[in-house]
Amino acid sequence: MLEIVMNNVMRRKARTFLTLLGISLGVAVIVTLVSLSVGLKSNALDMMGKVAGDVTIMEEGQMYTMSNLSEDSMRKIQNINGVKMVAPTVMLMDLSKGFNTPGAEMRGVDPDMEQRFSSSSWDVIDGRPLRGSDSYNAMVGTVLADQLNLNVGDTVEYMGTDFKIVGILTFGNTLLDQAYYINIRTAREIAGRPPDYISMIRVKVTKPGTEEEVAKRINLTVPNVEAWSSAAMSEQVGDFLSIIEQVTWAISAVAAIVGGVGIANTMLMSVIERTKEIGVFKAVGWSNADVMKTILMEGLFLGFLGGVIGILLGVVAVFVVKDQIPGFAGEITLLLITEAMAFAMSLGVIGGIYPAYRAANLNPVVALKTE
Amino acid sequence: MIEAIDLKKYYRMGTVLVKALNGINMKIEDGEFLSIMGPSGSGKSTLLNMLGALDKPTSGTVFFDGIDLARVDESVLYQLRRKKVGFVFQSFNLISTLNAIENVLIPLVPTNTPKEKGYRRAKELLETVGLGGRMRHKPSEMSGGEQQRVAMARALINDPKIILADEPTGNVDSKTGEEIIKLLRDLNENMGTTLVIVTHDPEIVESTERTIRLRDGIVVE
Repeated sequence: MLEIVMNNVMRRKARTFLTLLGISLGVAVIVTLVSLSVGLKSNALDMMGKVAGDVTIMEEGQMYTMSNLSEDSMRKIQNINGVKMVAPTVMLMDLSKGFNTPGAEMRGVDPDMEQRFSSSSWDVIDGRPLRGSDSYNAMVGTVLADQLNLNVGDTVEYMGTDFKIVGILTFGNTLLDQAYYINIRTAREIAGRPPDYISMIRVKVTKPGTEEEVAKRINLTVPNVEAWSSAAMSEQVGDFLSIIEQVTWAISAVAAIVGGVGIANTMLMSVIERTKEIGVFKAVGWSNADVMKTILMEGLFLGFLGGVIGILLGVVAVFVVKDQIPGFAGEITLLLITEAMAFAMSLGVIGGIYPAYRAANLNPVVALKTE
Repeated sequence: MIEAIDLKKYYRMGTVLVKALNGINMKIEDGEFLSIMGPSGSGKSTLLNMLGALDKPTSGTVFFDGIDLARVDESVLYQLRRKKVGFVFQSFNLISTLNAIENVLIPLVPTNTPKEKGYRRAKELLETVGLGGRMRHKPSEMSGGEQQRVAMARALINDPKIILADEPTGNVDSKTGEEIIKLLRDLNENMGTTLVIVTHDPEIVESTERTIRLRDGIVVE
């Protein structure tokens, strides 16, 4: 039976190829989207957990490098009830290196304050941490170090200034591990900002669970700032992610329908062309169920081939995206591959049901008379 | 033994009611070599399909080894075709994408016959019909006579009790036709296979033991 099934699939090579293209593109789209949305989710949640601290403060209505805060606001925040610890960041973006390319992002931190603030969330894996006396020394995140092949002792150019790498660190978070870290003093200097400039203030609260409360208190008492609790931020991100997830599903559903209709169409045509052969099968003693089984196996086989090709295409697509957007955690899991394969094969069988039913119920006498 | 009793088959062709078979009574004994003759449209092929459990009558019935074919359901019919009947068609009806031996094996596909055993048997049969050297050839690479011999091997693979041949020599030249008839006769003589041939070739008719003549759906002699 297998020979007959394979022969039928291979009989019209161009048509089979086009059908496979349809299914495999569908599968590839699903594999790519699902893996990227999973990656996006883990990136975003990671970022929430570690970038932000319990509460993150920026200038009202501004983000990152555009945000303009001062040491004065930080002192006010430090004195607010429920705040345990604060740490400042000056965000730099070297646009001459391109947007979002490895090595474009630098963060100025206060070495002593950062030591206390982040000691539980970072690991220095080579060299040493930043010191208050460092000016043109930098630490580099391990992801960036890998990408640019940087080692302790190397010199890098950033916004026209040379920095010597003194340490390599990891937060266990691809986004944070993709930046340079330098002394906040130097960061202000090369950004042309005043000596008390800060872009972002991070806060740790005294009691877990009070993040939202503390954020509110900051918003009320300190003028011109906007404080986000990590919970509120992840809620926002969560909303965004669930939209992405829904879009992923909608696109996958369309891909599935297109693939399924393609299979059904191909197999229906092939069954109609083979009417006489099916008549012969029935004349020599095949039952309706035998005929049906053969056609469904053909669908299964098409689905299987489409699944294999689609998964390969999807894997390639994910690698391309990961290559283009460094640090993007697109994940291809065994579960995803299994699901995509099962999906493609059931698509083949479902697409084959009507053609198989039609073939099985042909009247052999009529079928044998067809030319 | 196969017996047709007041066998009728009517069907509609557009608005016209065609009475393909209009009350046939006949008997075929086991091991007989029988020809059915008649002008085209006389119902020969329809009768052959009825005798071979391929089609159901409008009224009347066929008893096939005591089984009333009008009363049993489809599953009994295909079992009969699978185990007891071999069809040979005028236009061979081989599967163009399969080679000779694969074509011969088609009836065994849905059965549980071990692959090796089926393959051996198919090889034997192809050798018997003189195609031992052409087992891997596709139908398009064979002459009409060779294709018909493959079709005969296919009809024989299940060791049927009866072979029903519908103008088996209609699409081959006369010399090849003679060879095919000789093969069929040998089969009948050596293995006792019942043989029914539909034909309008008088020479074939002469070589058979008995002839049934049809006209307008009834037996005329």
